[in-house]
Amino acid sequence: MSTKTTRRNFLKVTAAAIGMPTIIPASVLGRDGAVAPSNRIVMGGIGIGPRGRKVLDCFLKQPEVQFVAIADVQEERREIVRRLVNREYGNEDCYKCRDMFEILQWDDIDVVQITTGDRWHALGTILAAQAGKDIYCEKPCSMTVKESQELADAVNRYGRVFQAGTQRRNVENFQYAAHLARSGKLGKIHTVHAGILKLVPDLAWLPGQPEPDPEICDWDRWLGPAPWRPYNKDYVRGRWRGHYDFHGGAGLPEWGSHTIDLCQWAANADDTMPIEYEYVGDNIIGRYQNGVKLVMRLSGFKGEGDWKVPGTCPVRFEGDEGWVESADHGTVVTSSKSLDQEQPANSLYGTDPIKHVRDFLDCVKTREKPAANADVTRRGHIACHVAAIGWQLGRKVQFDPVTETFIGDEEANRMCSRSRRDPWYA
Amino acid sequence: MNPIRFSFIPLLAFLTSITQASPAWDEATALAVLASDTEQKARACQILAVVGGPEAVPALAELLDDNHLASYARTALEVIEDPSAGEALRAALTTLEGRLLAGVVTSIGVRGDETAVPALQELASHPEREVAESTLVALAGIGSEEALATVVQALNQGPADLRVSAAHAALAAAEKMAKDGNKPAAQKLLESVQAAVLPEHIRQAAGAAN
Repeated sequence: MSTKTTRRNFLKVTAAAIGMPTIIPASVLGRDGAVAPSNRIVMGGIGIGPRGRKVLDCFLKQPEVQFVAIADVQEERREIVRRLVNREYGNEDCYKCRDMFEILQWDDIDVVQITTGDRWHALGTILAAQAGKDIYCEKPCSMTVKESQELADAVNRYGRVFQAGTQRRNVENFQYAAHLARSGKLGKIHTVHAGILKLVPDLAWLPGQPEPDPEICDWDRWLGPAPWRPYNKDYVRGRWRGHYDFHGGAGLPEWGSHTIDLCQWAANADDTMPIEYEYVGDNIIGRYQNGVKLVMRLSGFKGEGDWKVPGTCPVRFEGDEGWVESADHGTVVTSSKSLDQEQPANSLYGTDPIKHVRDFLDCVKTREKPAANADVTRRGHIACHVAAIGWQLGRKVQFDPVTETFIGDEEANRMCSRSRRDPWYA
Repeated sequence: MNPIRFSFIPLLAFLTSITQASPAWDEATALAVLASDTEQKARACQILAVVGGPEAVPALAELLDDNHLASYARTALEVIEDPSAGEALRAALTTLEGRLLAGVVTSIGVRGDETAVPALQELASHPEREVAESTLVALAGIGSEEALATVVQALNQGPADLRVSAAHAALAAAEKMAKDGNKPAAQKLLESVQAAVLPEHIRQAAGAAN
């Protein structure tokens, strides 16, 4: 059994006692004087593995960012990040710790990057918002409908800038496809298609293994608000995906948080979500109040089958005057040459968050809402969770986008939340 | 009722396998069953969180003192509407401590159980900080006048870190009250936060909402 976590035991120790700098050294903030102190954005990281390092790399390329501390429950990961940051800055100043509350209570930190597994995304964001930080959080940002609501409410309550890691809103080919749909160039939109992964809601536990020393890997904190199960090294090495307790929405939001989000955007539906969902053939069919159909395709995720574009995360938007399709490789295929005239000459690969990070940092300065703000994230993620619940229950479900509850389906409503493991709460 | 896609089939298969006492059993199989007992209980709780009713409450209540299974049981007890689920959680307030107590307190808050307010008020100054904090959140979640009076008291007179927890709880409660149309009460609560000794960003949040 690992050492016990108390929710906020950081409060029992002073910053000095735990060796955390209370004032960031001038050498850390100086960065050769390239950016005036008043324009610097001081940043900390919470849970940075392979994907998180790609995001961090984008932040480190921004001249005003000064990354000062990493919290990760795995020593190997926090040490990799510490070295990476120190190499970038040519010093030894990056602070590492295993308790994210050390980062959150550090007043000098303006922004946090949360790139843990899904189980921590919403609660980490809520705690960061309560601590007055702006937040860049990887997707999926929630495990449940309720967490999607709590996240957006907390971000708005504390006036924080939030960007979900649904970076395709800032990738040129997807922007162009959405532009064609939103500008009326496809005529009246009637159907939008989202490629999503097959759902794998596996409840089975991996075989238990002896827990490592918490200094090496703190299993109790790794689990965080997720329900307990015995340690297995595969989980902490990234194979938590597909496991119901760790992978929200039966895995549907894994890519649905991107592609359904893009469909919401293209359909001018960022302020709502489909009102009914039904599993038909190899698709989940959603329908908006205005009759627009959202087709969530469970096959052909890499562009095979009926898709006309290569690459992961394909989307297709259909209007009564034309259609457009695009995916991660950057290709945009349309129904007519006239729609191709303004195609972007170049496009980032779909997984590249560089412009998304830039959008976030610009908004941190202006206090505007970035492309994947908490409100659009709330609705896009809820649509994912609702679709997954309908699929799990094996029946057509109806959902009220105003009250954000299922209509006439108690079982479905009971699946909108899960208890957080003690002592975690929002 | 339609079968639930993720749950029944593997559970039923497992239960069938252990009750048939097949001669094909060997030590590894037996050990696997012993080791997976907790897992099967967890899975059963997850199923009961969707389909369970009052009949499930006693079995779920027995798990509230289990370090590994309590949160699985609470997920079900939070959503079973029958009053017996609330009674089971309230009963656990007198027997649990530490994290497990904090968890039960949180679940009572999720249920919005007004009958638990007197018991919760006694826990608001609990020496274990996680219990006291979760109690303030639960009281704010319940949102009755007497529940909020305890939150405001902590806001005004509690130790510094508890004041912060009380403020977060009060802000969420005020938001809910305003949404429900009770703007005067929400305004009063926000004014309490603005007047308290708190980090500036929290007082600003109260000011922006007011």
